[in-house]
Amino acid sequence: MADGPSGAKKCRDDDVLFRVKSKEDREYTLSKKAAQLSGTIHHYSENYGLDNDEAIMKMEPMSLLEVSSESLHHIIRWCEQHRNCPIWEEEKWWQNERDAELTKWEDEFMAEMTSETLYNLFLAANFLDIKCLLDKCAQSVADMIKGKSVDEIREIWMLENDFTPEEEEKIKNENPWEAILRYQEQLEKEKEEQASQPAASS
Amino acid sequence: MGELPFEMPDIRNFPMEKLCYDLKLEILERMDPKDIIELMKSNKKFRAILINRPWMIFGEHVHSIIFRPMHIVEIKKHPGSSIFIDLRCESVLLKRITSCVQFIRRDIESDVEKETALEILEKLGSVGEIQMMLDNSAMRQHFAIFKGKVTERIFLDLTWYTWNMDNESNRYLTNLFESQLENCKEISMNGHGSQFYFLRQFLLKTNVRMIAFTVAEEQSSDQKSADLVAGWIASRGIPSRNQYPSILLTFTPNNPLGNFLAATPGLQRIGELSSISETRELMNEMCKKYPISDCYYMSVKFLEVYKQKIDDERDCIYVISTFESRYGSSARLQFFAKYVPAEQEPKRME
Repeated sequence: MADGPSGAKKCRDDDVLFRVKSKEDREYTLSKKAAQLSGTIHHYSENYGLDNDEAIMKMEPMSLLEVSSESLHHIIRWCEQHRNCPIWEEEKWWQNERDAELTKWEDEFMAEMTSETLYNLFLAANFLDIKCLLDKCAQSVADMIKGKSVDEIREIWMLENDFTPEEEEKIKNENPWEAILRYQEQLEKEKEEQASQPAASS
Repeated sequence: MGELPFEMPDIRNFPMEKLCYDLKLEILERMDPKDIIELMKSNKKFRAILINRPWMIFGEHVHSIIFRPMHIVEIKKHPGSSIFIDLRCESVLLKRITSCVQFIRRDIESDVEKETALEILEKLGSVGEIQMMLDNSAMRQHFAIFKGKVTERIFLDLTWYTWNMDNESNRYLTNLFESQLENCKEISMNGHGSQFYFLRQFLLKTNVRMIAFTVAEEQSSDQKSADLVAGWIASRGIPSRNQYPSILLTFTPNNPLGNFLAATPGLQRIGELSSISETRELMNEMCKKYPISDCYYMSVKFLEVYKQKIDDERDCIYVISTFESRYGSSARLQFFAKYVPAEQEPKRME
């Protein structure tokens, strides 16, 4: 596997290492600071008393049955690179400050991904609850179809064209806002009808 | 459509439909509205998600909300991409927005527009920049409903303000500056020079780094406020709790500095601006943001730089620029002041 973008951080010899195991039963280590980026590992540490360096050094590897070796390799690279970053604000993700050098590293990191590795990485980031990686994966998938046509979107995201030819023709020329508003109005009407029903029956 | 910030590999065959619902929503939240519209035409399931949750098109955070004439509001989810919404029927799309970088609201045209602006403001927890050129009562109505903080920049038209000790306006402005503009980095105000002494009390409630004060025409054309306002800055200080604030004053035509130099003790004339490059850059940035009107027809006629000791830690640098029209009409004055660390010794003029 590639070592990734230049300037990648690796854990140092004096780091306290956290042990993890992929679904293929391959063991990996990552620094304590990098491991703390994962909400899942954080909860595991709390539940298994891994709250001090000595306990971490003596730990059995944590099994990550949902994460492949390849994804875990990428996850560790990501976490080591981000281990000194401020805590990622999940709900207000737009408020997170982005360091230009780190953003460049992230872009190079994402540029290495194939569709399959990106998909698996996205799922792994979700499973391990690594907010900043989840954000980057979501943005990268969104960017894939930036400025693309309907046919290109279907091809890139492997979406089925599940419209009938008539529906497709109608949609092609519609004002999307009108369609949304029509539906919202209909919902409102249904709500009003539902609300008036008990009153009418009583 | 803007360029991507980086070169995405040409990935095809991404198994989007295999992702769980929550991850799909994460992606939709980050998409450009124009791409979302195309996506709605691509697949029924995505169309259903968006029709059921139309507020996802803009999400919780957008870059800009700009009110335009004829009931139109321009939404920029990202800086380079605009979608225009008709407020009379499409405001449902805006109902989940809780944060924006820029909120630009000018004249009120209709009740619909006013209601929508107030509805949006009520939900905004934080705004980077607010631009509002509204009259006093409309401005008060807007800020009464907005409970968030302005973090970057605000433009306020305070030409209506006249000092009165027990005035409700004083309490209102004190509260606005104290609770909502406390940590705003840049405050731009229009107001009368004769009122600046009183307006400065509001600025003193904040940590503002940059103040731009455009001095409006005084009621009496004989009244010249340049000496007055510049004198207050020199004698009372730049009004901010920030340690190194700056202020740019822009005056109306024919409002020159008469006795500022003579009336300000301890002023030291210093040489080229190049010796204080940081201050020069900041001044240039401020002058670009708040240019004098008709600046295209104006050229700098006079530029002087002075230094004054403030305390053991700080000096104040003053830059006085006079602009003259190429067509011989009235001259304009800009006065810039910035506190700098005292050890930053600029070169003296030989």
